[in-house]
Amino acid sequence: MFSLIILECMIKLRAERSVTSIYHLIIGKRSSQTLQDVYLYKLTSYFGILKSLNRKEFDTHIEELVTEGLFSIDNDGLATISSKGRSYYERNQEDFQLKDFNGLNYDRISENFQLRMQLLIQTITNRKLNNSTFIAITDNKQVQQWVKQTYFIHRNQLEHLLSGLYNELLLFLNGLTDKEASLFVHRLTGYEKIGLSKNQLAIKYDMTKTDVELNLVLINHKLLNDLLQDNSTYNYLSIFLKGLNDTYFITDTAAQTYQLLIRGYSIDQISKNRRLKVSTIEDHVVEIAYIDDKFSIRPFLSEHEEKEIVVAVETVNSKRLKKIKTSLNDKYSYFQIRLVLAINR
Amino acid sequence: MNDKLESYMKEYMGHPTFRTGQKEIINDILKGKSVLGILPTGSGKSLCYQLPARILDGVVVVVSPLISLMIDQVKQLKASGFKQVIAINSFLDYSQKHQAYQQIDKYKLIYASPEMLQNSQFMKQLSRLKVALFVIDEAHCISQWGHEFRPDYLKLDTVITKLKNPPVLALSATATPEVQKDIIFQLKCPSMNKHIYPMDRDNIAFVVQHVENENKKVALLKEVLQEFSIPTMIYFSSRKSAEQVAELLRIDLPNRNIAFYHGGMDQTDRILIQQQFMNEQLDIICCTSAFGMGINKKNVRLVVHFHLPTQIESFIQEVGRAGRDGESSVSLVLATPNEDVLPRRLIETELPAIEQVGLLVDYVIFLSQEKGITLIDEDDMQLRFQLSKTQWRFLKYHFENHGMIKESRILTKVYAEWKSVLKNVQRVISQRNELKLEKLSQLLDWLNSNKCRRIQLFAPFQYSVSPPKYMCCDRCDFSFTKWNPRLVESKNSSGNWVDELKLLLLQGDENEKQTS
Ligand SMILES: Nc1ncnc2c1ncn2[C@@H]1O[C@H](COP(=O)(O)OP(=O)(O)OP(=O)(O)O)[C@@H](O)[C@H]1O
Ligand SMILES: [Mg+2]
Ligand SMILES: [Zn+2]
Repeated sequence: MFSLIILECMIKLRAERSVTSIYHLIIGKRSSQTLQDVYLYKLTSYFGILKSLNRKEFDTHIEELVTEGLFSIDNDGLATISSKGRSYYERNQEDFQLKDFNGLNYDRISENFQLRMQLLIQTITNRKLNNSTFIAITDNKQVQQWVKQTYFIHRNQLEHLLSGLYNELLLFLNGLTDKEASLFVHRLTGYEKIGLSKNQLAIKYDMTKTDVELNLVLINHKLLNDLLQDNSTYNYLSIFLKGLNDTYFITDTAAQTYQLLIRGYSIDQISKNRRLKVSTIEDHVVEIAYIDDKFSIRPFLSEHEEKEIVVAVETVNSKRLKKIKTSLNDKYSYFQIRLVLAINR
Repeated sequence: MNDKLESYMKEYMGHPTFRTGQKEIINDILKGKSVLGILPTGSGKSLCYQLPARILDGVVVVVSPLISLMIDQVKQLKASGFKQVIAINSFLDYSQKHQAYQQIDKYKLIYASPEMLQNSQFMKQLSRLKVALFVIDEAHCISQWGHEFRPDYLKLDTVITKLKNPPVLALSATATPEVQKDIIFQLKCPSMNKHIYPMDRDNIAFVVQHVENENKKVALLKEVLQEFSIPTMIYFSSRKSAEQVAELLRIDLPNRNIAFYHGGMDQTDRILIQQQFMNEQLDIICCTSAFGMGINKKNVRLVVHFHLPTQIESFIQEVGRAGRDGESSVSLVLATPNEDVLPRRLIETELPAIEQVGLLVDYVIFLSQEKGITLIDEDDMQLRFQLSKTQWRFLKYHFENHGMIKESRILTKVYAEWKSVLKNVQRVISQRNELKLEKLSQLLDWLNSNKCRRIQLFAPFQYSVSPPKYMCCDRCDFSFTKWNPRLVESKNSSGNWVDELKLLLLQGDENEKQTS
């Protein structure tokens, strides 16, 4: 699965971004640059789907794929896909439901959702069998707090909760492949049964550790897709979503800039006020332009100027800022071009 | 008084009796005396402050060198029903710390990392409280002569003063008489009551097997493990070899549950593996020293050293994971003729190389004199001189101590001053390296000696050892053919996912129930 995702990223990035930016994309780096790439090249679904992958592991994977002849990488870190790579992608892309990934949208909820489910299941199965001395399988304090409260609410109806979760999980898992369902179930922890680590799952199902993680994330996203589309079927599983669904993605620092913009401060003022570089504040503004559909770029560009840039983007047929800027005889700043790309995504 | 203590023990800790030394130490503490307690690994040192924490009026503060150890202990205490405990360390984020500080007076037992005790904000909070007892766990870390010297441990005496001199309890399982003296000296607590007990473990037999190379180690290991299906820990000095050997064992021992554990794994997976081991889902764990300190599994029967640590003290600590229930257990060391190479390399790379420091100081002088730069870029320094984090921290500590820098500001650009400090630091480095190499050779000598392993291993710590409860060592009487530990069966979860899910969520099958 990893190789397919990398190939798709490379195809969409059209050798305009380096392999490093793919790394930042899949680990979900919270930077304006990465966010812009994600929107610009329509790669939102893969944002942050492999959070625990370190750079070394990533590089090793990439080297393997180069050795397999799927693509080559030049000195600037730009990839060229071979015909082998292309046909491999086209042959296999249907097998995996890559389209079910929903990385950016679920970035803030996916992990929390999963941890809540795992810890609540561990808690209620142990409590049901009168064992209060078990050690939580996550150290996440927020999740622990949430589970404590949720357990308290349901403490007198554990049986209902257990059978409800069982039925709904059965329903959901029946829609997956056997392998997916097994991965999901063996990862769970219950009474005197601790879930398997990614490495153990990798051995058991003869996959790479990275693919195990991708599969677990994909299953989780599928579950979230189902829940958010239709939560009348999933009364019990929806419990884990409470209070999670209304957070949308923006870096914290950009959110602060946004607050000041709304109050009418200029970029220069904000830069002075927050003691940050002007370019940093500009990054924030671009990030906001991507996220907030109602955000107006008029303070920075007239309608006429915007049109001129749009035309230029179409004629050079590239999202490389330098190319666009040159074709406009350096009449506009990078910032202005990025803003136009943001709202015309 | 004593009857009362026993009933507290039953009520709070659930143990019917005290183990050797516990009652004596606790009695002294309750009388408000300071205590140095030396007791073997696994003997229940933690109870010596956990029980007083329940009884004393005021809070008990515990310093512990390893954050993971601290967190494990807090988890265990909470799981056992003692909720007024917390671990404060640099892993907590701002809001978590803030929350902890707000309710700091609710806790009876506070674990803190030595670094946190240098944090003025935290100290301000602590000094508001009535500290009834100040505990230094793994107290050998305080000593220059100890194996795990920690600079922040050296500043504990001022911490104790700031907390208005509460009684002090220093605990260790591996402290030579020299280190014991140094602990008392460093803490400036000359009036400590000493409770020194023999550090040997009478239920552990010591075995060393010499082989030609690493492949032979694996072969021998397989033989032993094939024969004995028992909870086993195998120590390695590198993550990679732990993974590789786990893989090799897995292929040849398909019926055993084997996994590796090291600091490079993500948090969730580490928790899962650790708990599987506690829960008997895993029989054999291939680990680095990152695993173990917090592990308090009672029935580990075999601790193998595939690689050696760098000194006897760590070795004793690691072996100490075995047989914490008192039953017959074995320490097995696998040694090749080149056994010194890895630990030697570890020692040599722990502190910065002498020449590196010289170059670095020249560079700092150049920066400050020629370039007029007063701020050091720490990342750049580490990169430029290829220093690890620990190495840089060591240098920074010493430069700060000599008043050459503060935070990352260069305080003086006088050539002669820097050169004299350089000499000083270089001397410290070579002294410490020498000391460590000497300690290493002690352990290596032990491997090759013909005398009783037990007597020789504990000779630096005490005059005699108690008679072994089971077999002694391979020099005296041990042979695997005579060993009969209680074997455990490997759990296996096969089942398809539907059955597994049913079992997991406690959905008994109605039909099955009726027929059985
Ligand atoms: N009086 C007692 N009776 C029975 N079990 C006890 C008693 N005291 C302690 N224990 C148990 O002994 C085990 C080891 O205790 P502890 O972790 O405190 O050892 P330790 O001396 O700190 O060892 P180490 O040097 O390895 O850190 C624990 O499981 C504890 O519950
Ligand atoms: Mg201890
Ligand atoms: Zn002997």
